[in-house]
Amino acid sequence: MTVAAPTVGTVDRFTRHLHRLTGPGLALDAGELAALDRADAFPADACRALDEAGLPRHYVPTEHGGALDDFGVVMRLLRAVSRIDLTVAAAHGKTYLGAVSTWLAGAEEPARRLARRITDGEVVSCALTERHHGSDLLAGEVVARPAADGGWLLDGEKWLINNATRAGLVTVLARTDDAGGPRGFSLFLVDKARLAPGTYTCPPKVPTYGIRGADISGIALHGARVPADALIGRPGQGVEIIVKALHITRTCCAAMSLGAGDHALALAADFAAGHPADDGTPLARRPHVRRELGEATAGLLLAEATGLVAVRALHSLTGEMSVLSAVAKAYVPAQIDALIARLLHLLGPHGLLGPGDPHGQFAKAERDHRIIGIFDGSSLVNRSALIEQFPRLARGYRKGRVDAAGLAEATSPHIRPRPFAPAALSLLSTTGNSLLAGLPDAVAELRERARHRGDLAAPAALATRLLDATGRLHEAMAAVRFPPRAVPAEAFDLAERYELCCAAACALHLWLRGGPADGDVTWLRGCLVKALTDLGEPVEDDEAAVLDDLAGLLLDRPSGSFVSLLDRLESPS
Amino acid sequence: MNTLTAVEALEQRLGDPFDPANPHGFDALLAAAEAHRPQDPEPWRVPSGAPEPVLHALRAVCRRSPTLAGTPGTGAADEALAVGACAGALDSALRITLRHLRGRRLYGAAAADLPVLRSVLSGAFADLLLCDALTTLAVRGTDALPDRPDATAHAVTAFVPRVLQGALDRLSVVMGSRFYIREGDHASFQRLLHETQRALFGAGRRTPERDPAAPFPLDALLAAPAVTGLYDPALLAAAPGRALNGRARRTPQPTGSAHERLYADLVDRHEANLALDLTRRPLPDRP
Repeated sequence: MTVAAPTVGTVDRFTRHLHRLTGPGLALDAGELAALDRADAFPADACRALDEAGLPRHYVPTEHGGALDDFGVVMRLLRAVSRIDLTVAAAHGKTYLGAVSTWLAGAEEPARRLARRITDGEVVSCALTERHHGSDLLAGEVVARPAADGGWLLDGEKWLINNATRAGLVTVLARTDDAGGPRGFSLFLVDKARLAPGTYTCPPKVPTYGIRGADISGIALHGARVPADALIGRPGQGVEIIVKALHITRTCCAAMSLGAGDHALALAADFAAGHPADDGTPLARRPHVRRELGEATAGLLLAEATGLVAVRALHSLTGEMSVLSAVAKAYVPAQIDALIARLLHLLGPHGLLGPGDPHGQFAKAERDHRIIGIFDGSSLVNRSALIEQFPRLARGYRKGRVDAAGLAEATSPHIRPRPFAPAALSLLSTTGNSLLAGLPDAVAELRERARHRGDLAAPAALATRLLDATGRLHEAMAAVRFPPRAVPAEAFDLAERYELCCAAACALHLWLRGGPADGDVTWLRGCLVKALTDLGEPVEDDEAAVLDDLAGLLLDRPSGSFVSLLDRLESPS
Repeated sequence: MNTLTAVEALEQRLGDPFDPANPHGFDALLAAAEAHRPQDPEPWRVPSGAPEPVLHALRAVCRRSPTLAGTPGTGAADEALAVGACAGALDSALRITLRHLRGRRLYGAAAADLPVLRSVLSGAFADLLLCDALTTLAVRGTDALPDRPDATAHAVTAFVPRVLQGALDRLSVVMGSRFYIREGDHASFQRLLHETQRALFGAGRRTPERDPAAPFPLDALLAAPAVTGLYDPALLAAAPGRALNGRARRTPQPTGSAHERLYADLVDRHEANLALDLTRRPLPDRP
């Protein structure tokens, strides 16, 4: 195991490069991006700049000639883009979703061909949803029938598809068995340039609430003939491949949420620090404003811990991703939406929604970010996926089933992760969830360390309460019974609490493994306070005061930088 | 009776918001907003009068467009009017969401039959009732808690805006991608959400002098005779927005019989075209 120094170098170089492009008149100029947003216009210059910066190579696994061998890296790159503009990130990052099914199917020649197209700058889209079925993929009506001369004939319309018009290649999910069902669909990589004229059209771009410049459109296929080698995997494998692909992309969506959260929090903090209240002192000096900024920071760090561990788990807890991807996709966007909403409620009336934000970047982040909780499976869809696995998760927790090596690797960010093994992805987690099954040991370790370090008493007490809440939660999860299609609403509340326990467990594991033994414990205390508060567990006033210290991290950070766990976990020891 | 007459006249003038041919309806307002075309203010003018009829007239405007409810003054009474009016936008958002879920099939069933989606609807409805109760108290100038004279004002300036916006945000999750697009049958949802957010939290709003999230005696307020006379306390107690008073962050949805009653009442009022607030006034909407 080696220290992943090249990782840090790649990310830092890319981030500095992006920063240089934010100057006036350049591709990532905030004023320019705001003007495009107002005009519902695609940020083409910005996307071209990302192509030139080499981002597409990170969507291609190294075995096919690209640079992707650590999902943690692509996550940080997309987070850096999302800090500047979420429309650009969503438009550019979509190519990975378009390509991932081909990577997972594993056939070498098609993967190599696609890899070349992507590194040459081709846009790849992924068309799953249809006008009347939304997230219900098994209700899809687009059909593919075998053509007389080999190949397939595709008919029907995919709608609300990111980049459907701009893309040269589109991965399409189509029904290949009239009876449908989980084995009744297949995936096709459709090359628009090879379709006969008139056999496809793209319905117009749909105007949206946020990410206004994005190409949210669709593709209608009219007896479009694709060659036999357009089929991804085998016939009938479409749903299985796409569900596994979503385990990856739902996890990586955290990158966009975290970037948007970083951006919104920095804008709010700078506004509060510079904006005088009625009495002339900056708003940030008011105790309740400081407390809110601290709570928002804690929320962001919890979300970051979740995203960081989940992305690393793709490598080392691959078989548990049906759980961890659902947790990441349900929790991280919802946490960032909530963070933005609370900052907006607090600071909007003081001008953050108006003159206090010259390019309207905070308002744009608010609009843009709401899409992350919707696409690639909404929080409701992901919570349903968790609820389906409740009996299994409760059993795994009770029996203490932990993949100890996988857990240690997922929570040690300075270690280069083992190669990603797609074959280990599984529709249902067989081991359960090592993050939570490993929580009792993690809490015990923190308590043990607290015997020798006085300042760990407070976090150890908080972590003990977290463990207690997690135990009660699993008992409630085990008791949920329901007939098919009648999931009680209360189960969704349990799923939300489950996400919170996971988020707090991620923070604790990271603190124990990711930093030096004498590392600062403030951020962990803040994360535990925030998680317990959100869980509805009692938190004392003097415990909550740690949030004010977190506000200090935010308000005293160097200008132009962001508060991140990574700075606390990877600083040279 | 006067209350209803003034607001009914305004509702009749503005017509059925769901009617695509109505020049004051959702489609026309959306088209105007998309074209940055200002509305002729005349049909939207709210006649001056006693505070409560004005509240309901402003609510009638907010059912269609919070932006057109105009910028109120900055006095405490104006504040209660401006905030309480936004319950009208939540009324419309609930109707749009109910229509959407009834027209959509998911996983082999009508979306409106999925328990989790129903509970979000009943929760948003309970929040509307809660906000109506508190703003009605404030607009009437009822001193419900004489030993806490600031409680009602705090409720209206700091608490009710976050409850209303929270309910809209949860409904937006249920609307899913249909919330996010600015065209089609339900495109007015995003416009109402956006305009409400601006009306409640935009620059120029009165900024609360103390911590807007500071706990205030909500339970005592809701137990005051002035409130229990308006509503069944069990329904107000089920409002998820109550969690926003104090430290709690997540908002549990109504369960059990409170949920069943709220949902049944919501559907009844929607089908009978009655307002979702305490007036239950008839609306010109056709289902």
